[in-house]
Amino acid sequence: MKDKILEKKNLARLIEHLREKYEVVGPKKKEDVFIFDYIHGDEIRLDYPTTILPPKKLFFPQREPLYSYEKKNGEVALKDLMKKWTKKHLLIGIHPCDVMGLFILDKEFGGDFKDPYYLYQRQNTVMICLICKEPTEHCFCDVMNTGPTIEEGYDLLMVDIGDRYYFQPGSEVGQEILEWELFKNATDEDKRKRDAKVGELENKLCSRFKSEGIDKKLRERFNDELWGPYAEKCVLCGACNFVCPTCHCFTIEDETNLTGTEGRRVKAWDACHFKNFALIAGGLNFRGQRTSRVKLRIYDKLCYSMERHGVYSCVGCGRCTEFCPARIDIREIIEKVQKG
Amino acid sequence: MENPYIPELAVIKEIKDETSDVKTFKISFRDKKSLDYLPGQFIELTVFGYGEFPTSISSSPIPRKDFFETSIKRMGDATNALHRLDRGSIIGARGPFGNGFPVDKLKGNNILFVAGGIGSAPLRSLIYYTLANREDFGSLKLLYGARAPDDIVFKNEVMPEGKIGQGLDVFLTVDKANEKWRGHVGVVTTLSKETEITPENTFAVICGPTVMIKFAVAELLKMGFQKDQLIVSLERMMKCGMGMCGHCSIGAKYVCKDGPVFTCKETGKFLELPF
Repeated sequence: MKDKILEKKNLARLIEHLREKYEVVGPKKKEDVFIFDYIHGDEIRLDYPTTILPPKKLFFPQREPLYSYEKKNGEVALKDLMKKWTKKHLLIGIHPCDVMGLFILDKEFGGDFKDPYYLYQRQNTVMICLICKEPTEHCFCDVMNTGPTIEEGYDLLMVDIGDRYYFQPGSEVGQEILEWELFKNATDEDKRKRDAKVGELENKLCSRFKSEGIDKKLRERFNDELWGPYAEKCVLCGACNFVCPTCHCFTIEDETNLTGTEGRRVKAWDACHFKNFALIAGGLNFRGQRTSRVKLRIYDKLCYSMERHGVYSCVGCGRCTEFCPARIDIREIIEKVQKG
Repeated sequence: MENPYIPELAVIKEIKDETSDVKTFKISFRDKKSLDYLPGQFIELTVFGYGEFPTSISSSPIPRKDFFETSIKRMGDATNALHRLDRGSIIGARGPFGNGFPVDKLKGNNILFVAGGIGSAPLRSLIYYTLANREDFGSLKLLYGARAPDDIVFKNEVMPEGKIGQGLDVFLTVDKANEKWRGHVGVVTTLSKETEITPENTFAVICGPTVMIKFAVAELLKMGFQKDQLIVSLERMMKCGMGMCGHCSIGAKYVCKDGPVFTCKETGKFLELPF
């Protein structure tokens, strides 16, 4: 199937067309920032630089009810609270780094054990990936090999080429969407513009540091004095955990009524930076030290994930740096470790 | 798809008081399903209305799998709530999780069990397993330390006249004696001098408080044990049991999935301290 184009003026109509078949989620403006949310055609903002929360929240929500229980006359009844979507979902406008982040979550939630809540939502979502308009000042996908474009992980890949969007299919579902009447065949000129756009982004994303071998360097520097200042500077607020496309830690909580006869169990985002993250019954805290928690997140992204999955689990989206109240910059850490 | 977050309903069949704060619960699944497990594996138990916690299985899968036992110390809300329940109460159980003890690797060898406090619970599973296959193993010795005589868990099994008796040599010690105690006094590592242990063809299997593991491992290394002869079962906050929630990590390992049982050769390669 040939690549297609859609004139920008038809974008809102495309969204409304897709909404006939799907629940459409995309970037929209909320006050001064951009978020992923359910959208109508007039709300979509494909010029967004980044969002606060990555689209992982669609597959791994902040609070996800797992099941409910009811105690009655000595009996207990359980009910699975797994969502059953009436319509498939379609996520439009997800940037390449965030798609790569989902590949990491696929490994975490679909490995030896399968998380049915995550996998259901993941498997029932069509993905339209969007090449970024501009890198933000915090982006480093070039270093992590997660952008500016990707080869897989999408049903459609779209690029802004001026007055139109360039679409290429990555699956049969994507091809079917391109059969809609307002899509036109892409010309050689469109293709040239598309390639030029990617080239332009590659030139802008010229980070002066590399990720290759950082896992080995980190092994050597586990007890290095380098970490002390970061442990002092970090306020351990957990913001970097929550905005990260690959942070997957969660806790399991019970919400009960006052008498405890009814309630539900919930899977909720947690952060390894929080003080009681590794506290066990009896009061022993395996991560009582600030350094232990600050290092864990960095090592998990750039060292442990390599041992576990053979890939780095930092995708270079820059959110942890952008939203850090203590202005800790993960790029600076990578650079320092690489310099040795 | 099977949902590993939802517990199976289970019934408390029997409750035994072990000490003032430890009880052993005998549990069967509601639908009569048997539980396939290895010594050293653990279960996530739910007390509905209070929450879920990980607990090691203290019974042996041999000869019977139509129930399992778990021995639980009162620590927080959920374990206290469990202690308040009566026989016949319905609870939830997920599992088994974790790798368990390497029972095949242990075959043909002497085994030294080193237990501290409630850490004796998973070792009880392995002890009964080895006794059920007694001819597969060499000498079996248990060094067991408790804070005080009244804190010895499984008293009627491990005390001199106890039912474990034949096939296993038991050495008990307490940190602090009372007027009736005629046995050894001192931390569990001080027992090793009295027991004629040599490292040849011997595995030491250690479970207890983190600090006790640390000292026991140091003592055994001093006696000439190699790191791959020392097997430890580690405690961490295992929320999901499936290597997803992140709470039990030590370096790149998840204790719930990659452990809780490791050799000291393995733990020596962790970037973070295991104990």
